[in-house]
Amino acid sequence: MSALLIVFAAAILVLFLGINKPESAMKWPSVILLMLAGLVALSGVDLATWLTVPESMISYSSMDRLFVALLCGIGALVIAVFDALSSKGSDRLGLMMLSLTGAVMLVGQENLVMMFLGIEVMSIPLYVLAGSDKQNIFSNEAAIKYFLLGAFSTAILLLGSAFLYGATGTLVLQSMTHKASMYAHFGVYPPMLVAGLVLLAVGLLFKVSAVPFHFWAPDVYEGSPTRSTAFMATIVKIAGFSALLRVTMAFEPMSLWYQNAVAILAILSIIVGNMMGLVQSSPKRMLAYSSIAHAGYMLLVLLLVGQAQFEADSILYLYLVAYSIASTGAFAWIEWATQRSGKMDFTMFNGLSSNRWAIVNMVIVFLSLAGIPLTAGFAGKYYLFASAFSIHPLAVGFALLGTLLSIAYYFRAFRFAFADTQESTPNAKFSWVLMLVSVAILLVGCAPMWFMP
Amino acid sequence: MNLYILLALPLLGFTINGLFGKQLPKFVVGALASSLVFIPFVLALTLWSEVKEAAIVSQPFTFLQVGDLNIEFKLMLDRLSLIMTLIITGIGTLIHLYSMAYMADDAGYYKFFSYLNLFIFNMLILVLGANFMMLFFGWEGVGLCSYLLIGFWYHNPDFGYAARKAFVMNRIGDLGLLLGLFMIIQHFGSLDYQVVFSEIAKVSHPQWVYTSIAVLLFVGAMGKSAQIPLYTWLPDAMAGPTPVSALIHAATMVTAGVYLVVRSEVLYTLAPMARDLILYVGLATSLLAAFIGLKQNDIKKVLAYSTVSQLGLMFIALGCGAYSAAMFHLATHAFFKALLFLGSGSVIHGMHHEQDIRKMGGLRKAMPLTYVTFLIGTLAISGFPFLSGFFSKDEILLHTFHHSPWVYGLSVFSAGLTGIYMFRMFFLTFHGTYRNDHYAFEKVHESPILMTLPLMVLAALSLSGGLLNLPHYLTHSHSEALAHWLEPLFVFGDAAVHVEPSTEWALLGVAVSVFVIAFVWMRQKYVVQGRVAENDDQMSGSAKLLAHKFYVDELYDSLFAKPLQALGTWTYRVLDRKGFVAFTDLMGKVTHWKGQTLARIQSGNIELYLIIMVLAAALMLGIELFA
Amino acid sequence: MNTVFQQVDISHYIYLSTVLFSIGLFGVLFRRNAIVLLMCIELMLNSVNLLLTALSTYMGDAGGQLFVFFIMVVAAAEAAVGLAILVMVYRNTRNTTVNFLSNLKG
Repeated sequence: MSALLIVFAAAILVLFLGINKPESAMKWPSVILLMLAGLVALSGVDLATWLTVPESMISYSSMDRLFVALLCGIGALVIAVFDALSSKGSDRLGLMMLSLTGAVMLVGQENLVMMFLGIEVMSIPLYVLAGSDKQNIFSNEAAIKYFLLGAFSTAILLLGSAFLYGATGTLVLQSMTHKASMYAHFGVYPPMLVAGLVLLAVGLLFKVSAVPFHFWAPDVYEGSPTRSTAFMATIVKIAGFSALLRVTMAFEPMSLWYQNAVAILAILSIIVGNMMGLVQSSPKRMLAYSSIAHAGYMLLVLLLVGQAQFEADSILYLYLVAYSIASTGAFAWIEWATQRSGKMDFTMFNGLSSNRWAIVNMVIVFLSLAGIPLTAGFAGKYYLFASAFSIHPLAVGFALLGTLLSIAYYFRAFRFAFADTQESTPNAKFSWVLMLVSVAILLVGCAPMWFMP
Repeated sequence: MNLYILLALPLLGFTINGLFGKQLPKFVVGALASSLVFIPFVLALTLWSEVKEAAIVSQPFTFLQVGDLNIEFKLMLDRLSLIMTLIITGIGTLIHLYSMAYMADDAGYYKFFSYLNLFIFNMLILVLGANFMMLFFGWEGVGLCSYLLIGFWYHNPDFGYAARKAFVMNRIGDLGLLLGLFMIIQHFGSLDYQVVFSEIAKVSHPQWVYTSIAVLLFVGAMGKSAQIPLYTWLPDAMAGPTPVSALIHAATMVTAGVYLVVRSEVLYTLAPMARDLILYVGLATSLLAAFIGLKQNDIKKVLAYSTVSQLGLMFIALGCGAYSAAMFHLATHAFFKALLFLGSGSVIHGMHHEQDIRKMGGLRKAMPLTYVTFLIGTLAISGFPFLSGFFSKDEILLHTFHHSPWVYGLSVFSAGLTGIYMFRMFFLTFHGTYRNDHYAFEKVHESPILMTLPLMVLAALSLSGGLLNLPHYLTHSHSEALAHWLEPLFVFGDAAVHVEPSTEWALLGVAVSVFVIAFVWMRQKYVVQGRVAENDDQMSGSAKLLAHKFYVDELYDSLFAKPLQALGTWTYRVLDRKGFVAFTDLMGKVTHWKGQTLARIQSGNIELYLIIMVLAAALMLGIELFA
Repeated sequence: MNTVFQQVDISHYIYLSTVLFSIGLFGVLFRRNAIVLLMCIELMLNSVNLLLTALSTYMGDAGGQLFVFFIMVVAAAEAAVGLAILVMVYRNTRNTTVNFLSNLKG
């Protein structure tokens, strides 16, 4: 709860104090504030004892606090790793932190009202961020697509919530569990419950860009400024999956009923994400499809809910840690390569191999996305696949196949990096934070137990 | 004191020199590496009295755990490993000092010392480990260091080939060792020495279990200690710098196989068939290598074959059940063979990298110190009375005599051959006239003090090494010190030998006369008559056969390497290119094509997106509501 | 307390709001003008509001009505952002047809 207040206060502060200041002035203060929020979330200190919030609205368990810490950490990382963009005002930083506020709310939600609020507070600033490059026609397109599709999916989510409300008579997730177990006991589900659940799921699946609700992702990711893209690809996924897991846990008594549907969606996401990733010519778009594939892998976590021998939330957490660090790093490297070469397609990597430090760090990032051992990505995938295998071997089989495919397109960047060394500029500088990303990836990869609650 | 310090110091040296050696001055690099080997030597010495009471065991921690099998990272310093530790660190220190001068002009100076320290670290793990897993760890580690150091001058492709050969040959042996360890786990459920050996002594298993474990472990020893059929790598390993040959390929690493068998004394006593195998393999190796040594003209190659031959002798001792005699010869051999290698290094240094003994001669005037020490080494190895080699070899011969007369005969013959090839080399190198046209005799120089000092220390050890284990016919009170020292470790102990004193004196007479014959004959041939070894193209018949090492390399090449290469080429051309690669290419093309088809849906058109999303949601709703 | 609302069967409210929602949905699917799309989405949201209010009254639970207030606030914010985006797009392209911008694809 304290972390939420800090993030929100920081957002307001940055928004108003930085209105006329260049972003570079507000960049490091924002990072420090977010780190502070993350630390507070980790420690579990309650700074606002005077504030009492009903448990049925929002509450943070120790697991939730870890998710909050991850959100704040990744938020800080995204802000730190990208160069300051605007010299006129820091409103974009403020918007990012506002969006983060929504994400933190979404993690702590116990109630459909809070879930809706969280999603919207998270999404509305993102619509603006997607279009923040106002003169750029691609950014415009990204904004309008994201907005229209996002608002539409919100409407569907709301209808689902209303139906659930009608079917269970409550908006509190915990109370819904009782109703659900009652229905599951008799094996008969009223149509309103089913419809509500499906529509709610559609709304959430849209947010995490699972197939077939993924169409917005590639277009929006490609068109938005890269920093916004990195933010969307990480923060929204973390918060979205946390919410999805929370809802799944609430309806855990009905797990037999939805399990196959989840597996099919996961398989579809994995196939489509990886196959489309293979044919892209723009690295940024490639990463968008890769994030769809990763969403597919993470959907497998939902299969573990209700299985006593697995801790679905800590497995998801580890995967999200691995995914979001590597993703941020990958987008940052793409931005760096674009600025260096002025190109948008894979030729941006040409001749990078002569810059030894850059290529080493970049390789680590992409290896982690692909899930090669000793990187964070492997640890995440290993725990996830190994546990999901006993529940749904077929889906895991597809996931492994998808991972295999993904290696092909992740490594494509290296083919360009090592193939043509003619146009090399070995002295291009890069941020030390990018080194930190690689170190973090190796650290998580070598000692995943430290990061699994 | 904590045993980990013994390990930590060389590892520290490896780390410092490996990471920062390039920036440090050469003297610092060498001095650091030497002192980090010398300190463990001193520490081990101070532990002498403590070890005498009981073995020191370090605090173990779990190394890996699989099911019921718990393998610990655990060190143990007992009487046997103390001797090995002293040899490794003691001779190691001398060779480090020597290398400071020998490698002074080498560009890879720091790299050399970091490898040497890494080797010492791994060798210490091998002998200090308290279970077979630790032994295996060190076993592989020294193999790696050996590979790195043989190929130290890797710009020469032949040297790189020699390094690879050593590695591959060792891997074949390692496979045997590994299988042996698996069998131990299967039958005894542990790898810990104490557990396994007490289990072996207590519980009776079928005979074939003991025999097959013993043979498999011996296969490992064959690889590391260069026995038939895996010996061919050791002569080629002389491609490495000479100090490496002295340290790794004479004094320490190659004796790891002997250590392994002595350590597993219980097992081998219970597996007489395996022990017979060791005896015959050792005998054959000893003879074969001695024969080949007769016609080698590279000073280091002669010493290499001599090493193989002497290792064979140690295995003969093990085959007879004379464990302490094998350890005794291991120790004395470490002294005089290190001395000989370092002496040959000194010659090579003084002759500016000339290794062919046909191009030497008369060096005793130019390098007096090297000459004297080399003479001592030669006398020691050929069995000059009352030098170290005399005692250790005679102890082994005594056991062979007790075992069977014809084994004794062949062993004595091999010992005689040792004298012949050693004196041949010695006289050709140091006596006669100087025969090198390309390098003036005046330029030949004695080596610096840093190189001659280790020679003198080792010469003193070669002279006095016999004191370790004096036979009881010389002194009753202090006899067989080494055997008594090792006795508490053994469950069954050395095979007992009962020989009449008169027979014993007769055997001594035989040994001395064999030495005298070899000495006189070679002196007559190469000093008095002044003959020189023939050139390669003048050789014929048996000489050619020996000079070409019985064509064993060629045999292995056509028997194993060529067919395997052909198979590899076939799998590459047919299976891989036409099979797997074509298949994966096809898969790639299919996925790519499918991906492009899918990409058409992603048309950029919001309306299409919306319709598909709604249809999908409707489909899901329909399925869940009506199915 | 028996109000007029409660005299009407709850199923009628459900049907009504579902129909309203569908009208909005089809509007979104088949109209081209982005502003009309925005209005249709508002219609969908309002149909949900109606449903929530009816259910809330029917079940005597205040939660649904509370939800409605939140939805109204958020819908307003969303509409504001949406219109701003539309204005921005219009400035650059002089067009508000949704399909006009379809450069990002593949």
